Amino acid sequence: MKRHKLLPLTETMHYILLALRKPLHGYAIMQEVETMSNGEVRIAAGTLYGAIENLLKYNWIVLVPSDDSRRKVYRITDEGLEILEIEKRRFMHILSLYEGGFNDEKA
Amino acid sequence: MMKKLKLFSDAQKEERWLNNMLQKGWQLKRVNAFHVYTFEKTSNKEQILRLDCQSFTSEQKFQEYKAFFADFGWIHVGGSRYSTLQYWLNPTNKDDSLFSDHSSITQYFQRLSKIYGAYACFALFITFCVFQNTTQFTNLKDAYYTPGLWDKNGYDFWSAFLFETPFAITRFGSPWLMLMFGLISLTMYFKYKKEEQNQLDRT
Repeated sequence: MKRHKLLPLTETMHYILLALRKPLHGYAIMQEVETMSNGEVRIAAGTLYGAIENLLKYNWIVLVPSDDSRRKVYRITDEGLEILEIEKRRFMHILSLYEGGFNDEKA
Repeated sequence: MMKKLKLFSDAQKEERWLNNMLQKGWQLKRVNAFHVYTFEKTSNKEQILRLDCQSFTSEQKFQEYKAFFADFGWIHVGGSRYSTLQYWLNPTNKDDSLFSDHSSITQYFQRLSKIYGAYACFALFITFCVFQNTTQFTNLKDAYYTPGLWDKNGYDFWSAFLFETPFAITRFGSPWLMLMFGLISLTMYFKYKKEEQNQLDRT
Protein backbone atom coordinates (compact mmCIF):
# COMPACT_ATOMS: atom_id res chain seq x y z
CA MET A 1 0.00 0.00 0.00
CA LYS A 2 1.26 3.43 -0.95
CA ARG A 3 1.79 5.76 1.92
CA HIS A 4 -0.29 8.93 2.04
CA LYS A 5 1.48 12.08 0.83
CA LEU A 6 1.36 13.67 4.30
CA LEU A 7 2.72 10.59 6.10
CA PRO A 8 4.75 10.38 8.22
CA LEU A 9 3.19 13.43 9.85
CA THR A 10 5.35 16.44 10.59
CA GLU A 11 5.57 17.52 14.19
CA THR A 12 3.24 20.44 13.45
CA MET A 13 0.59 18.25 11.80
CA HIS A 14 0.84 15.73 14.59
CA TYR A 15 0.20 18.27 17.31
CA ILE A 16 -2.65 19.91 15.38
CA LEU A 17 -4.46 16.59 14.87
CA LEU A 18 -3.95 15.59 18.50
CA ALA A 19 -5.23 18.99 19.69
CA LEU A 20 -8.32 18.74 17.49
CA ARG A 21 -9.62 15.65 19.28
CA LYS A 22 -11.66 18.39 20.91
CA PRO A 23 -13.23 21.24 18.87
CA LEU A 24 -11.03 24.37 18.76
CA HIS A 25 -10.62 27.55 16.70
CA GLY A 26 -7.34 28.64 15.10
CA TYR A 27 -5.68 30.60 17.88
CA ALA A 28 -6.89 28.09 20.49
CA ILE A 29 -5.17 25.31 18.52
CA MET A 30 -1.89 27.20 18.81
CA GLN A 31 -2.39 27.67 22.57
CA GLU A 32 -3.37 24.03 23.08
CA VAL A 33 -0.30 22.84 21.15
CA GLU A 34 1.92 25.11 23.20
CA THR A 35 0.53 23.62 26.41
CA MET A 36 0.68 20.03 25.11
CA SER A 37 4.33 20.44 24.12
CA ASN A 38 5.30 22.17 27.39
CA GLY A 39 6.04 25.35 25.47
CA GLU A 40 8.35 23.63 22.98
CA VAL A 41 6.16 24.03 19.88
CA ARG A 42 4.74 27.43 19.00
CA ILE A 43 2.98 27.24 15.64
CA ALA A 44 3.13 30.48 13.62
CA ALA A 45 -0.02 31.95 12.06
CA GLY A 46 0.89 31.25 8.43
CA THR A 47 1.94 27.69 9.17
CA LEU A 48 -1.27 26.92 11.03
CA TYR A 49 -3.39 28.56 8.32
CA GLY A 50 -1.78 26.43 5.62
CA ALA A 51 -1.94 23.26 7.71
CA ILE A 52 -5.67 23.70 8.37
CA GLU A 53 -6.33 24.24 4.63
CA ASN A 54 -4.43 21.04 3.92
CA LEU A 55 -6.14 18.98 6.61
CA LEU A 56 -9.57 20.18 5.44
CA LYS A 57 -8.69 19.21 1.86
CA TYR A 58 -7.89 15.65 2.94
CA ASN A 59 -10.98 15.56 5.14
CA TRP A 60 -8.92 14.74 8.24
CA ILE A 61 -10.60 17.63 10.05
CA VAL A 62 -13.98 19.35 9.55
CA LEU A 63 -15.64 22.63 10.39
CA VAL A 64 -18.04 22.46 13.30
CA PRO A 65 -20.89 24.94 13.69
CA SER A 66 -20.22 27.48 16.45
CA ASP A 67 -21.78 30.57 18.02
CA ASP A 68 -18.71 32.67 17.24
CA SER A 69 -19.35 34.04 13.75
CA ARG A 70 -15.85 35.49 13.42
CA ARG A 71 -13.87 32.38 14.24
CA LYS A 72 -14.13 28.99 12.60
CA VAL A 73 -14.02 25.95 14.84
CA TYR A 74 -12.53 22.63 13.71
CA ARG A 75 -12.59 19.03 14.89
CA ILE A 76 -10.84 15.83 13.81
CA THR A 77 -12.78 13.34 11.61
CA ASP A 78 -12.84 9.54 11.73
CA GLU A 79 -10.36 9.55 8.86
CA GLY A 80 -8.12 11.84 10.88
CA LEU A 81 -8.36 9.49 13.85
CA GLU A 82 -7.37 6.57 11.60
CA ILE A 83 -4.29 8.51 10.52
CA LEU A 84 -3.40 9.04 14.18
CA GLU A 85 -3.82 5.28 14.72
CA ILE A 86 -1.40 4.54 11.85
CA GLU A 87 1.10 7.01 13.29
CA LYS A 88 0.66 5.54 16.77
CA ARG A 89 1.50 2.04 15.49
CA ARG A 90 4.58 3.46 13.73
CA PHE A 91 5.73 5.16 16.92
CA MET A 92 5.05 2.06 19.03
CA HIS A 93 7.12 0.01 16.63
CA ILE A 94 10.02 2.48 16.75
CA LEU A 95 9.69 2.62 20.54
CA SER A 96 9.88 -1.18 20.71
CA LEU A 97 13.08 -1.04 18.66
CA TYR A 98 14.50 1.49 21.12
CA GLU A 99 13.67 -0.72 24.06
CA GLY A 100 14.80 -3.89 22.30
CA GLY A 101 18.11 -2.15 21.66
CA PHE A 102 18.58 -1.31 25.30
CA ASN A 103 17.75 -4.89 26.35
CA ASP A 104 20.40 -6.21 23.98
CA GLU A 105 22.96 -3.95 25.57
CA LYS A 106 22.08 -5.18 29.01
CA ALA A 107 22.23 -8.83 27.99
CA MET B 1 3.88 60.65 6.56
CA MET B 2 5.97 59.68 3.60
CA LYS B 3 5.05 58.13 0.29
CA LYS B 4 7.40 56.08 -1.86
CA LEU B 5 7.00 54.42 -5.19
CA LYS B 6 9.15 51.36 -5.59
CA LEU B 7 8.95 48.25 -7.71
CA PHE B 8 10.36 44.96 -6.57
CA SER B 9 11.08 41.90 -8.58
CA ASP B 10 11.31 39.67 -5.56
CA ALA B 11 9.09 39.44 -2.47
CA GLN B 12 11.99 38.61 -0.16
CA LYS B 13 13.90 41.74 -1.22
CA GLU B 14 10.74 43.74 -0.67
CA GLU B 15 10.37 42.30 2.84
CA ARG B 16 13.99 43.18 3.68
CA TRP B 17 13.53 46.73 2.42
CA LEU B 18 10.35 47.20 4.48
CA ASN B 19 12.12 45.95 7.61
CA ASN B 20 15.04 48.31 6.94
CA MET B 21 12.53 51.16 6.74
CA LEU B 22 11.15 50.03 10.13
CA GLN B 23 14.65 50.13 11.60
CA LYS B 24 14.94 53.72 10.35
CA GLY B 25 11.69 54.52 12.15
CA TRP B 26 9.32 54.35 9.18
CA GLN B 27 6.39 51.99 9.61
CA LEU B 28 4.34 50.83 6.64
CA LYS B 29 0.73 52.06 6.82
CA ARG B 30 -0.55 50.81 3.50
CA VAL B 31 0.39 49.77 -0.03
CA ASN B 32 -1.74 50.31 -3.10
CA ALA B 33 -1.95 48.34 -6.32
CA PHE B 34 0.57 50.68 -8.02
CA HIS B 35 3.24 49.96 -5.40
CA VAL B 36 2.97 53.30 -3.67
CA TYR B 37 4.01 52.64 -0.09
CA THR B 38 2.73 54.97 2.62
CA PHE B 39 4.90 55.17 5.73
CA GLU B 40 4.36 56.77 9.11
CA LYS B 41 6.97 57.77 11.71
CA THR B 42 7.25 55.29 14.55
CA SER B 43 9.43 55.02 17.64
CA ASN B 44 8.72 51.31 18.07
CA LYS B 45 11.61 49.57 16.35
CA GLU B 46 10.77 46.18 17.85
CA GLN B 47 8.18 45.67 15.13
CA ILE B 48 8.60 43.24 12.31
CA LEU B 49 7.03 43.04 8.87
CA ARG B 50 6.38 39.84 6.96
CA LEU B 51 4.95 39.00 3.56
CA ASP B 52 2.62 36.15 2.77
CA CYS B 53 1.59 35.07 -0.72
CA GLN B 54 -2.15 34.37 -0.89
CA SER B 55 -5.12 35.23 -3.08
CA PHE B 56 -8.68 34.25 -2.39
CA THR B 57 -11.60 32.72 -4.24
CA SER B 58 -14.14 34.70 -2.22
CA GLU B 59 -14.34 37.88 -0.18
CA GLN B 60 -15.45 35.79 2.80
CA LYS B 61 -12.30 33.65 2.63
CA PHE B 62 -10.19 36.82 2.55
CA GLN B 63 -11.94 38.21 5.64
CA GLU B 64 -11.51 34.89 7.45
CA TYR B 65 -7.81 34.83 6.55
CA LYS B 66 -7.35 38.33 7.99
CA ALA B 67 -9.29 37.47 11.17
CA PHE B 68 -7.21 34.30 11.59
CA PHE B 69 -3.89 36.19 11.54
CA ALA B 70 -5.30 39.06 13.64
CA ASP B 71 -5.91 36.56 16.48
CA PHE B 72 -2.16 35.93 16.51
CA GLY B 73 -1.45 39.65 16.88
CA TRP B 74 -0.59 40.39 13.24
CA ILE B 75 -1.88 43.62 11.71
CA HIS B 76 -2.81 43.62 8.03
CA VAL B 77 -1.15 46.69 6.50
CA GLY B 78 -1.37 45.92 2.81
CA GLY B 79 -2.76 43.61 0.18
CA SER B 80 -6.19 42.95 -1.23
CA ARG B 81 -8.18 39.89 -2.17
CA TYR B 82 -6.46 39.71 -5.58
CA SER B 83 -3.08 41.25 -4.82
CA THR B 84 -1.46 37.88 -3.92
CA LEU B 85 1.07 39.58 -1.63
CA GLN B 86 -0.23 40.22 1.88
CA TYR B 87 1.65 42.56 4.21
CA TRP B 88 1.63 41.73 7.91
CA LEU B 89 3.01 43.81 10.75
CA ASN B 90 3.73 42.40 14.18
CA PRO B 91 4.05 45.19 16.75
CA THR B 92 5.42 42.99 19.53
CA ASN B 93 8.12 40.98 17.77
CA LYS B 94 6.94 38.02 19.87
CA ASP B 95 6.37 35.87 16.80
CA ASP B 96 8.97 37.03 14.36
CA SER B 97 7.92 34.80 11.48
CA LEU B 98 4.69 33.81 9.74
CA PHE B 99 6.03 30.29 9.32
CA SER B 100 7.32 27.96 11.98
CA ASP B 101 8.16 24.78 10.10
CA HIS B 102 9.92 23.74 6.92
CA SER B 103 6.95 22.38 5.03
CA SER B 104 5.06 25.68 5.31
CA ILE B 105 8.12 27.65 4.13
CA THR B 106 8.39 25.23 1.20
CA GLN B 107 4.75 25.86 0.33
CA TYR B 108 5.31 29.62 0.53
CA PHE B 109 8.05 29.39 -2.12
CA GLN B 110 5.84 27.13 -4.20
CA ARG B 111 3.03 29.71 -4.14
CA LEU B 112 5.46 32.50 -5.10
CA SER B 113 6.86 30.41 -7.96
CA LYS B 114 3.35 29.70 -9.28
CA ILE B 115 2.18 33.29 -9.13
CA TYR B 116 5.26 34.69 -10.91
CA GLY B 117 4.90 31.87 -13.44
CA ALA B 118 1.33 33.03 -14.07
CA TYR B 119 2.55 36.62 -14.58
CA ALA B 120 5.15 35.35 -17.06
CA CYS B 121 2.46 33.44 -19.01
CA PHE B 122 0.31 36.54 -19.08
CA ALA B 123 3.21 38.61 -20.43
CA LEU B 124 3.87 35.92 -23.03
CA PHE B 125 0.24 36.10 -24.11
CA ILE B 126 0.48 39.91 -24.46
CA THR B 127 3.71 39.50 -26.43
CA PHE B 128 1.93 37.24 -28.93
CA CYS B 129 -1.02 39.60 -29.18
CA VAL B 130 1.08 42.65 -30.05
CA PHE B 131 3.77 40.97 -32.12
CA GLN B 132 4.59 42.60 -35.47
CA ASN B 133 8.35 42.34 -35.88
CA THR B 134 11.27 41.64 -33.57
CA THR B 135 12.79 45.14 -33.72
CA GLN B 136 9.89 46.43 -31.61
CA PHE B 137 11.45 44.55 -28.68
CA THR B 138 14.93 46.05 -29.02
CA ASN B 139 14.19 49.58 -30.14
CA LEU B 140 11.44 51.54 -28.41
CA LYS B 141 11.15 53.85 -31.44
CA ASP B 142 10.19 50.91 -33.63
CA ALA B 143 7.34 50.13 -31.29
CA TYR B 144 5.52 53.27 -32.49
CA TYR B 145 3.44 52.44 -35.54
CA THR B 146 1.90 55.81 -36.47
CA PRO B 147 3.09 56.48 -40.05
CA GLY B 148 5.48 59.41 -40.23
CA LEU B 149 5.30 60.05 -36.47
CA TRP B 150 8.94 61.09 -36.16
CA ASP B 151 8.61 63.70 -38.95
CA LYS B 152 5.70 65.46 -37.26
CA ASN B 153 6.15 68.66 -35.27
CA GLY B 154 4.60 70.56 -32.38
CA TYR B 155 1.06 69.70 -31.33
CA ASP B 156 0.61 67.05 -34.06
CA PHE B 157 3.67 65.20 -32.83
CA TRP B 158 2.94 65.39 -29.12
CA SER B 159 -0.71 64.36 -29.36
CA ALA B 160 0.12 61.36 -31.56
CA PHE B 161 3.18 60.51 -29.48
CA LEU B 162 1.42 60.64 -26.11
CA PHE B 163 -1.56 58.74 -27.46
CA GLU B 164 0.57 55.89 -28.71
CA THR B 165 3.08 55.73 -25.85
CA PRO B 166 1.13 53.27 -23.66
CA PHE B 167 0.73 50.94 -26.64
CA ALA B 168 4.37 51.30 -27.64
CA ILE B 169 5.53 50.52 -24.12
CA THR B 170 3.35 47.43 -24.08
CA ARG B 171 4.75 46.29 -27.45
CA PHE B 172 8.32 46.98 -26.37
CA GLY B 173 8.15 45.81 -22.77
CA SER B 174 6.03 42.66 -22.75
CA PRO B 175 8.81 40.18 -23.66
CA TRP B 176 11.14 41.79 -21.11
CA LEU B 177 8.47 41.53 -18.42
CA MET B 178 7.94 37.92 -19.42
CA LEU B 179 11.67 37.29 -19.06
CA MET B 180 11.82 39.00 -15.67
CA PHE B 181 8.79 37.19 -14.23
CA GLY B 182 10.01 33.93 -15.73
CA LEU B 183 13.37 34.29 -14.00
CA ILE B 184 11.82 35.16 -10.64
CA SER B 185 9.46 32.22 -10.98
CA LEU B 186 12.42 29.92 -11.65
CA THR B 187 14.39 31.37 -8.71
CA MET B 188 11.43 30.72 -6.41
CA TYR B 189 11.04 27.26 -7.91
CA PHE B 190 14.67 26.43 -7.09
CA LYS B 191 14.26 27.76 -3.55
CA TYR B 192 11.14 25.59 -3.25
CA LYS B 193 12.98 22.51 -4.53
CA LYS B 194 15.92 23.21 -2.23
CA GLU B 195 13.67 23.50 0.82
CA GLU B 196 11.88 20.30 -0.22
CA GLN B 197 15.20 18.50 -0.57
CA ASN B 198 16.32 19.74 2.86
CA GLN B 199 13.16 18.26 4.29
CA LEU B 200 13.71 14.90 2.60
CA ASP B 201 17.26 14.83 3.92
CA ARG B 202 15.97 15.26 7.42
CA THR B 203 13.51 12.38 7.35
